[in-house]
Amino acid sequence: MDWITEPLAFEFFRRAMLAAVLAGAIAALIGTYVVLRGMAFIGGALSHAVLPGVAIAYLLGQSILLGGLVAGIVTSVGIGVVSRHRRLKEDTAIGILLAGAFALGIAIMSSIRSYTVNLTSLLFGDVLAVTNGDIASLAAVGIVVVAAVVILNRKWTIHTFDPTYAQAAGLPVGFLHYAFMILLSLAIVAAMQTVGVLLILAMLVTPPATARLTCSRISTMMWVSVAWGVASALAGLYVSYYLDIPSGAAIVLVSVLMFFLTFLFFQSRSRQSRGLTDAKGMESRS
Amino acid sequence: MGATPEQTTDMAIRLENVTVSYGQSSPVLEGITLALPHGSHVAIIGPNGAGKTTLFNAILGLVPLSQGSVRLLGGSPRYGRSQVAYIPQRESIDWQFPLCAMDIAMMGRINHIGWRLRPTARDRAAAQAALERVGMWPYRNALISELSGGQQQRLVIARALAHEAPILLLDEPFNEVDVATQQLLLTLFDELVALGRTLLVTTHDLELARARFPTLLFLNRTITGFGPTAEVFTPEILQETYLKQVVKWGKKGDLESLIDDHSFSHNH
Repeated sequence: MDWITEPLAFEFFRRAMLAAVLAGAIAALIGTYVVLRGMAFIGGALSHAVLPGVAIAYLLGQSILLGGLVAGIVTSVGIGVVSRHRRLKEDTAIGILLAGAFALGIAIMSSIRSYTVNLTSLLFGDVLAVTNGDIASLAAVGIVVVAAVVILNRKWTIHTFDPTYAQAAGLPVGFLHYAFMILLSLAIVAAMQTVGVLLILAMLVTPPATARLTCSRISTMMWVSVAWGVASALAGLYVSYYLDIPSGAAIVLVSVLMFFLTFLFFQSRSRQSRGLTDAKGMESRS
Repeated sequence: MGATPEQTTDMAIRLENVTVSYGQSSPVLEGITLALPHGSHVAIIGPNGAGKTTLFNAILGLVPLSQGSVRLLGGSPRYGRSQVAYIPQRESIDWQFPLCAMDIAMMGRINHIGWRLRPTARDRAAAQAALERVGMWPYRNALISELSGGQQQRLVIARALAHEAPILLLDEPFNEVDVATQQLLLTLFDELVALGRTLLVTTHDLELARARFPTLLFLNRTITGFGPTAEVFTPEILQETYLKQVVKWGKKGDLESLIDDHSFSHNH
């Protein structure tokens, strides 16, 4: 068991572990709705779109969390406005804003040229450089996200399952949509330091997708998704430590590996049961 | 429809010269004027693309009107729609969603639950009564993905019952359901109307509409016929409603024999 305790001797590793677990849990929780609503593309767009907000926040010496949040809100409103045009579909609007915001972010970042800001660390994450202040922000985001899920879960579920019914029943669908976008932006900014802008989508989508394969109720799916998110963060950090690969990539690879193992296991099981019913059908026919 | 001003306030649904266009050159609904008192039991009949679902959306205030106005329970649709239970077509719902039957019935209580975190005993009782009424209480813990088409249809009706709304809008509830479910729904609709609820039901089943609904509304972009079943179920109105679409139908002979059939049985 030395291999488990050995890296824990380093303070940077312990801090990284705490940050990765918090970020993994937050992303997996909010990601459950992303998977159920089929919003992966929006999740990808928002994760790219926070970049200019973060860059401007650096430039002005403001909080990254706030900058990313504002950029996320502006982008989600932008997607809403552009996709309301009759000739354009939502995915087109998302595509335009994703690339546009990302390009703006790169342009701003490259003009800063300061050693405190590093484009690579934003794109690919730098969990080993996490400070205690970052962990406090992560914990605060975690509390906000959990509180929102507790309060809004019932309404979000109805809105996700049957949007027309939600609208007809008089639920505040606009508020529900933008509240979700704000929380998604928060989760994305929070996870940015762990895995980086380019890999956040994997943290949002992979653990809930793995949970979806085995769970048949939303409530259990959320818990299992969070468990997968935390497990991949922990295992990924160790893989990163021992194989000396970037932590963000390691966490995502572990997470995706878990998904495919689950997928193959349940694929073969569902094929077996299908085989049985087929055999029964043959019997009754003959 | 010659309602005096005092009666007007009693109307459950009132549409005044409503036109909906969706930005196309030809409107989906045009010049719809309709006043339905409480306790109305109306089947809405018309070919595909006649604007039946759009009519529901207009009543709920979910589509912009190019012209005209809608009053729901004497107020604007925005205010009145929480008093309306909308039952969308079963096919429009993702039945693979990870929920059980009780979750769906409880959705009908959302306006009663409001911002409370948990449903009250009253909410649970209403959801249970709704599931019992449609024979789905034994399946309350079943996943919706495991239910048959008829059971799924009963479930969306149970959600509307749990809502306890005075107005119910049902989009094709008889589509691909078993005979037992169809009978259950028809009896249930009669009961609800007897309680003073207002029911608008779209259907493709002309025979069913004629036999089981006291009022028919024929729709094909405009209202082609509206009134007591015995008066409006005529070959002329059927032709006006359907013959515009005959090119889309393909087999003209089928339609003519259908109309002949009905006018024949109607005469007896």
